[in-house]
Amino acid sequence: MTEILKIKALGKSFGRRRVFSDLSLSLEAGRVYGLLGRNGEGKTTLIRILLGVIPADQGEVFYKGRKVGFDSASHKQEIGYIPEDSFFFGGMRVGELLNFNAAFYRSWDGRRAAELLKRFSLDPRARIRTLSRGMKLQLEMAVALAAKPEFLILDDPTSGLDVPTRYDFLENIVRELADAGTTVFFATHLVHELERIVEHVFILDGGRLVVDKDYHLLKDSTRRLRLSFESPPPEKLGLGGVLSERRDGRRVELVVYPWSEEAQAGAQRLSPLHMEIEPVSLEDIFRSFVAG
Amino acid sequence: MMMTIEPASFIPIYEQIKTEIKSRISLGALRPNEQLPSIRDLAGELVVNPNTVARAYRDLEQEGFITTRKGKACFVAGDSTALIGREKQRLLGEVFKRAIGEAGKYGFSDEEMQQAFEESLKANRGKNRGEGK
Amino acid sequence: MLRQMILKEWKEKFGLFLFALAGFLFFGLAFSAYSQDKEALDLLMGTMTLVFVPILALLLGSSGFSSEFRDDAWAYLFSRPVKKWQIWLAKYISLLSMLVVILLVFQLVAEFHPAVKAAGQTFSIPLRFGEDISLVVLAYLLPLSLFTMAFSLSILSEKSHVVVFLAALISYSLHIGLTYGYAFLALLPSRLWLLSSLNLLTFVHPRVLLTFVSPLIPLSFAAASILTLTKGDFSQPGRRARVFAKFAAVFLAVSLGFGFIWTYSSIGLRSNPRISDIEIWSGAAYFATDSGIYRFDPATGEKNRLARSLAIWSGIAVGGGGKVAYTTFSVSGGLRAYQDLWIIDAAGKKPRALTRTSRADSPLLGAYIYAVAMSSGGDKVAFITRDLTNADAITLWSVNADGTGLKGYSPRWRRSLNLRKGMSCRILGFADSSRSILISPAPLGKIFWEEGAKLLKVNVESGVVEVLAEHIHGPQLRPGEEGGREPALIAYIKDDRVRSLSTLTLLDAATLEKRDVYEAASIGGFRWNPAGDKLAFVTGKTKIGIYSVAENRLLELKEVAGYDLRWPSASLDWALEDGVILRKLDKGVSSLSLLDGSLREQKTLQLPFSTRYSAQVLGGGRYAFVVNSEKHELWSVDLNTDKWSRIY
Repeated sequence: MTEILKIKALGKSFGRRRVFSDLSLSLEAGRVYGLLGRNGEGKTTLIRILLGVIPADQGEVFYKGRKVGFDSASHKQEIGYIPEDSFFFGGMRVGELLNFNAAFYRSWDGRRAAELLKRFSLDPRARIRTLSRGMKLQLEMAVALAAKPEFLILDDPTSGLDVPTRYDFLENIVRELADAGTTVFFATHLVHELERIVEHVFILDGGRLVVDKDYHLLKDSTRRLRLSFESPPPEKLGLGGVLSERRDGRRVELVVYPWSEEAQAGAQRLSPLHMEIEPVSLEDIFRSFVAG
Repeated sequence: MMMTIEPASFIPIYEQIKTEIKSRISLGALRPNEQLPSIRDLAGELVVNPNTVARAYRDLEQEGFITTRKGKACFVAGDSTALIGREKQRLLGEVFKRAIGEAGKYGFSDEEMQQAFEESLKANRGKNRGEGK
Repeated sequence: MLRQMILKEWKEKFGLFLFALAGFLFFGLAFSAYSQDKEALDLLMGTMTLVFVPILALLLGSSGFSSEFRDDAWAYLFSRPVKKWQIWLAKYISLLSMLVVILLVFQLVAEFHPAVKAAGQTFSIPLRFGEDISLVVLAYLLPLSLFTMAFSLSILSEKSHVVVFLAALISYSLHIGLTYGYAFLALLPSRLWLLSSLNLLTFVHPRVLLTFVSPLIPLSFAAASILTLTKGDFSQPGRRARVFAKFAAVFLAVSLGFGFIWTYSSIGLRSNPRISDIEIWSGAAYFATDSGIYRFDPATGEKNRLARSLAIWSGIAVGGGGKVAYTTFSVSGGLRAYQDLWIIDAAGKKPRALTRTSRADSPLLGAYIYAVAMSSGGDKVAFITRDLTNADAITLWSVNADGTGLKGYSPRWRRSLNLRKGMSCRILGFADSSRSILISPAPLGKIFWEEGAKLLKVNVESGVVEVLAEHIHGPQLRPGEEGGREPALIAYIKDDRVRSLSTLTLLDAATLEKRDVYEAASIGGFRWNPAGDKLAFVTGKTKIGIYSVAENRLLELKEVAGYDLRWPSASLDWALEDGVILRKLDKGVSSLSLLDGSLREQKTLQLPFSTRYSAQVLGGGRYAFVVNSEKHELWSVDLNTDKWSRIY
């Protein structure tokens, strides 16, 4: 497996506010990565640094093994970017935006662009500001995919869209994956759909990477524990790895990571009346990591 | 192919896909030598990572339930009868395991459970006769 | 990418373009409506060139990155695979193309609209006495400079009105600040008090402003702007501004440093204030420097400073027993510098002001004095003034040495002279017992070589002008000391371009009789001897002739070798009784040679300094004086003892 992107000890501050420091991660080609984090935690900042939009204060970025600086442009030929908001030039028409972008990308495929426009039912002569949010997203997809990227970066593109639209969007991503084996880096706080396609999970919280794990391993290592007791249990349960805890009288609900035999034994030692062990959805895993 | 998968579930998506396909084969909804949807199409329909579908198909091929012919297309294996039989057994075992697990939550003893099972079977037989099965 | 950027920018800023066209239409109509009113035309021209077009340039430039601030479009642009300086440049060229089209329309209007064309020919801004800034420079360089400045600053703020204000403020304050800064440096060390004068503009060579200041300041800001993009964090306004300011300061300092060094070497900021004029009278040297007027008597070895003054253009005039007429600068209460004419005696006593140009009731209000001459008896002084606000207004004046009897000669004088912009005028001196003034106006530049100068006599009382000669050059009045020498004879060189001949001619100012002294293909120059009865001249580049006025014949005409005869007026003079001194250049070593009356070399004295420039040589009886114009030094040598001493 080839490494497509590596970040080493990245740090960034805005004035006195330190967004993250000493951030390191590595991406393999062809896989789908999810970057989970709450709003304002630095997902967009990290992506902007990767795309050379803003400079990092410390650290280095390597694309396919070669170091890329703030002003490097050639590696971006292979990167497609679907941003959160439409940073568009609203007065432009759909077709004009495509032409505008075509001038930047050497690998631009005009026929593919036309195909995508047709598939998304976008009128090339429509002015961008007249498009709905969902259609703007589709336009951004068309722009990103027409350049035949090897690496696709998405920054929460579906927030604010209704569920069917989100599914449509995801379906298009899936098709792209099936056709081209693109590496996908999907930053979002709407985790529900991501779970269907993600292969490796990063969770950013408090400026640090609190989770950097294969998706299935993560799921396997997390359990929801529902315990009910005779009498209200003590404050401290003495269990390790509790990510989040909810109490309701004699009932306690815990999300535990990492799950193991010892953890189960420890729970049983508390002599609960009743114990249920359940899997945890990625969404709940995310919430437990960032809330606690 | 009209299956639903539950991404949040404990069971990995590829396992769910495998289970669904095996179940359909056992039930006869998928007949021997019938073509399965391509990885691309199934991934698109289910909106899941194509790698996941690919893995499911790979496993199914290894287990002998499907074969790959003409390069890319996947077909239900022609001689899957024995496998089917075993699979049916396995599925039944799954059903009971789930039932016992659920029942166990309420603290029933083995004898209680067995008795309840007999009564359910009887009731079901009666229903079926009533419906002229 | 450039093509796409041009399309995009033109589409976005098309409104501004239409506004520009509408503006020109308005101006075109206004010009037509007022085509007869010269003052209105001047005002319209000024408004169009100095207000409208520069504002368009500012608006266009400031809109550079402002559209990208909306909706964070800059982040989208930066995420494309393109280097940030390429984005900057593409945008710059795109908007520049719009500015160029606007300027082209402007040029078309100026060419084809008759009223505009007429106004353009007479419109100008005099920046330095004698030199005007051409309309082309103003009309094109100014908007380009402002545009670049505004565009460079547009990355700092999304509010384009802030950028426009900032760009205008920085541009104008830097230009004005530099003007004063360079003027201040040019006048160090002794004239700090002149800083307050608003007339300082006249001290600064326009080259400084136009060639250096104009392109370098906006280029510095452009470089800072590009570097801010490629190094700074565009999402943080505060940081962006600080990075920009840092880069701008560095580039500005470097370019201003260059400008300063260049100015220093071209204007000549030397530790020794330069010598602007030198005259020999009765063997004493009177010379004017930027630090004052001095008199040096080599016989006694005394050097006195007669007065503090700056006589940069006007020179000095010596007469009547060693009296010196000179000009001074002073500052009045209203922070304006005024030039006045003064007279002082040879001992530096009894200074008297002959004019009071600061007084509101003075006819000389606001005038600049630039040529001064004294009658040889020392009873009258003549001078020429130039009005600061109107370059065409050149007036001749005469005044008595006691300050009375100020008379101006104009416009009658001006009319008969047919003065144009760009003419200079010399006063040769007085004639007819100080009843008339001899002047020689000449056009500047190439025309001079075609037309030559004129020689005119102006009657002091009536102001009537007589044309004595035309197509001449180098006229000199016969010197006469202590009471003047009559008749006033003027020697000059007359050029006949048809026959390609030059004639050294003598003219009697009273009888108007002409006498041809010598005719040849070329006559380089000549000098009167102090007694005023002989002429030494250079002809054919290698021959020297000596002519006696009394005997009306050539005493000598000799071929000489090894002498530097290129500029006779500076390298040839009379010395001792009848001797001639010449500059000699031998293998790069300059020396002074003394020749006797028969033009035989008596001795050669090596100059005590070496210089790239030709050293001016003056003779004063027993002594000779040499000026080192590179270091602004004055040396004298005793021709009997061969001893050199440095006077200044």
